[in-house]
Amino acid sequence: MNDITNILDNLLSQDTPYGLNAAQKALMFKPGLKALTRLHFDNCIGYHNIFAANGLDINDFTAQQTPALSVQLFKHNELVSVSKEQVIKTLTSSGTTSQQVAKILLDAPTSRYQTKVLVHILQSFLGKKRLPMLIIDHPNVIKDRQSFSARGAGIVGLSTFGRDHTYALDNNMAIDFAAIKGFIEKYPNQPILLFGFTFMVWQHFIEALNQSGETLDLAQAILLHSGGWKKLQRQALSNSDFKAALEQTTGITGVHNFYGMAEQVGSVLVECEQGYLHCSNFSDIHIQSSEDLSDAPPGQAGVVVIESLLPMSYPGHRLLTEDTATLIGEDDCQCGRLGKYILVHNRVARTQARGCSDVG
Amino acid sequence: MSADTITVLAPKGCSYLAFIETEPAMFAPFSVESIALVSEFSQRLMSDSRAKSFGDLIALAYWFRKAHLFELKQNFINQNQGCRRQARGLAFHITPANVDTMFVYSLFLSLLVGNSNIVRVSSKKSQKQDIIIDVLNQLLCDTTNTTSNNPAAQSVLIINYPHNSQINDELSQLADIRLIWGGDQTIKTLSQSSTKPTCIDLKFADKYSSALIDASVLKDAGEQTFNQLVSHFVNDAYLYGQQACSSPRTVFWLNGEKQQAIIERFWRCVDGVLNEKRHTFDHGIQTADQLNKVTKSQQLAIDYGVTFKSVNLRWVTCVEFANAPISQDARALHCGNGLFYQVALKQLNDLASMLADNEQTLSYFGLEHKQISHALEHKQISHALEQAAGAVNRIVPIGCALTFSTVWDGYDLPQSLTCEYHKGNKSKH
Ligand SMILES: [Zn+2]
Repeated sequence: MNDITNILDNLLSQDTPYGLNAAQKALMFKPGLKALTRLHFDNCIGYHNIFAANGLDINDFTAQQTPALSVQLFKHNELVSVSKEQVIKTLTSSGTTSQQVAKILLDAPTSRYQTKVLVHILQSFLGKKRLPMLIIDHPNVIKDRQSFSARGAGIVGLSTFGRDHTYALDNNMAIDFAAIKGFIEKYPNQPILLFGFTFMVWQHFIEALNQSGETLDLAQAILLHSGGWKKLQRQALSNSDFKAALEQTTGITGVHNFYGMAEQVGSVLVECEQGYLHCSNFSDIHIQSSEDLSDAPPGQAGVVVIESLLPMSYPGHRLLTEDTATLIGEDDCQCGRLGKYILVHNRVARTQARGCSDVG
Repeated sequence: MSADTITVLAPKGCSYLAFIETEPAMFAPFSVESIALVSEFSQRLMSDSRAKSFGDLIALAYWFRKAHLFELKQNFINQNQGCRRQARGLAFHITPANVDTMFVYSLFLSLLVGNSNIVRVSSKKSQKQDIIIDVLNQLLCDTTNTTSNNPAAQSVLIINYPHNSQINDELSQLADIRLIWGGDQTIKTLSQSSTKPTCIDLKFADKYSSALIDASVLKDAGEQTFNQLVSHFVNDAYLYGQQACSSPRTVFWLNGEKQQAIIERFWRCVDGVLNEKRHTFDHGIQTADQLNKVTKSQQLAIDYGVTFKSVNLRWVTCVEFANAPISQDARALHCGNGLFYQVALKQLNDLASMLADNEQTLSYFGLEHKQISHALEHKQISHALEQAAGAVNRIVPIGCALTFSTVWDGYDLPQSLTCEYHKGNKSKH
């Protein structure tokens, strides 16, 4: 495990999470990935079985041969590489397509590095100082700990990057103009942080503003949003529509979507000024053909395989997701960040339930 | 009120209410009228230009050709020497979505033995179903031809409706026999609707099918035999996206341990045929199917220690079980769309212990039917003591797994669809 923490510490000591070119990154990423494979092979019997099922030799394999585990597995099987006593945190993902919930078990080191890496990545966009923070949600979303939702967990996670947390919506999901205007007056002419889930920002903030006819002056704000476009796909809303409407109603131009999943700590891809999602030094992306899941040629949309150097307590370092994306380029984005950059499209459509049992 | 949600697909323009309020027309088994109607359908479908590209539609038309109908009639007569049988009355068919021709087999066998029929078909979009319904409507509604005046034409109503317990209740109350296709879940749903005390149910539960190949024989087979086997296997497995109950999911390899090379070649060739033909199958092979197979095979590796035998193949996923028999839980993980479980058999006598209670079809290559049934006898006998059902229902050559037969899931359909004649046994609505 020292191999991995050494690599992570080294990467964390870099000035920026986007400073390594492909060759430089491979020197650390590939050994890191292989070390994680070895770690989980030795400590997680389920992972051991999957590795062996592929006919691979643990003493002679390449990073690319590391099996990509289906994200769906975490809904069915408890995969963990540490003892029960070492687990300090359980992450859950509410699958939108299934009632079953994925369970991700973190030990103290994995959890600690998750926080460190998130800070390292987001600080490169937000600066080191905690900004006044406006949350595009209602205050109760984090209060009911019993039914603590993925949304609530996301908000709590991001709250550490801000101060004076203020909620932009009231408990009826209507815009709380008094709260927002008070907040704007309190912090004039200085950067503030807005955070919310994409569909919440669209439905309950941008659209609600449009309908009310009011505009807000938030030109100094940076909006971070995540959660995917799935709920907005029916409205055929594109990222650029979203940004244009946001600028029109609030004046916000600094917008960063980000892409990640509960199943893989450490892989947070943040949208740059050019509108692309960037891999950091801690994660990598491969696109597989939508037809047969083989390696897709650059520029072709396909299924995302995502890698992270952080998952030490569970075998989530290389995952086959259900998302589709296109690799736009590597090391040459006009924003100046190095590494791969992609556009995420949508979820792979599920085929209807079949089998003997449906007379539909 | 329930009539509002019911769509009558055939005969076009026929009223659901009028149909159910009319005394069902019943005929003697294999009457001139019913044979005329069914064989006319067969001819029309056979010559329909749209049907030509669908092998299973041609197979359907061929199965109901006049000569075969007379054969069925003769079998029925031979089987019932010295006793007279009659139709049961109104048959309610609840047909499956996975095999779009199945409802026709169910309907026509019932019609041939003289029943009146209400068929609920899937509302899933299906080109093949549309063609069949269209041909039926030509037959039943075109007043210029003789068949629409055929009284048997009054004995068919094809409908669909969304999942609706009230309509299920209503039709179940009217039925003298229900044919419940569509597996365990449908059987469970329909069991909630009460029926007349005299009504009988034919239940077609979830089934599991396998193939048996003698690897040594395959190794010595000529190129042509090998290719034909691959092509037959692909058809059995993929025509309905491996969702038909009789499509093979497990492959047992007799002498498999010694013949790894030929087994690998077999899967490579299956993969190659799929690469060419996958678009011609019902569902194709979609991204979600491919992802599903990754998930399931990894689950099988975690839970059962299987090994992957198709790492470099594009369309086939094959996992090998070292520890057979394959448990029910492992079978339940099967997702279709080209996932195969593989087991090596040292000797044929080991086969019996590998099969489960819900085994339907065993398709084979390189062996004789007699050898297999003999090897399974022990299983059948020991099993009969515990439970009447179970064991293998059909043993057919690979390539015939989807071929319909009048005995299905242990029911002799012409017999089950009729009862012994006695006076005044006519059903009332
Ligand atoms: Zn960029």
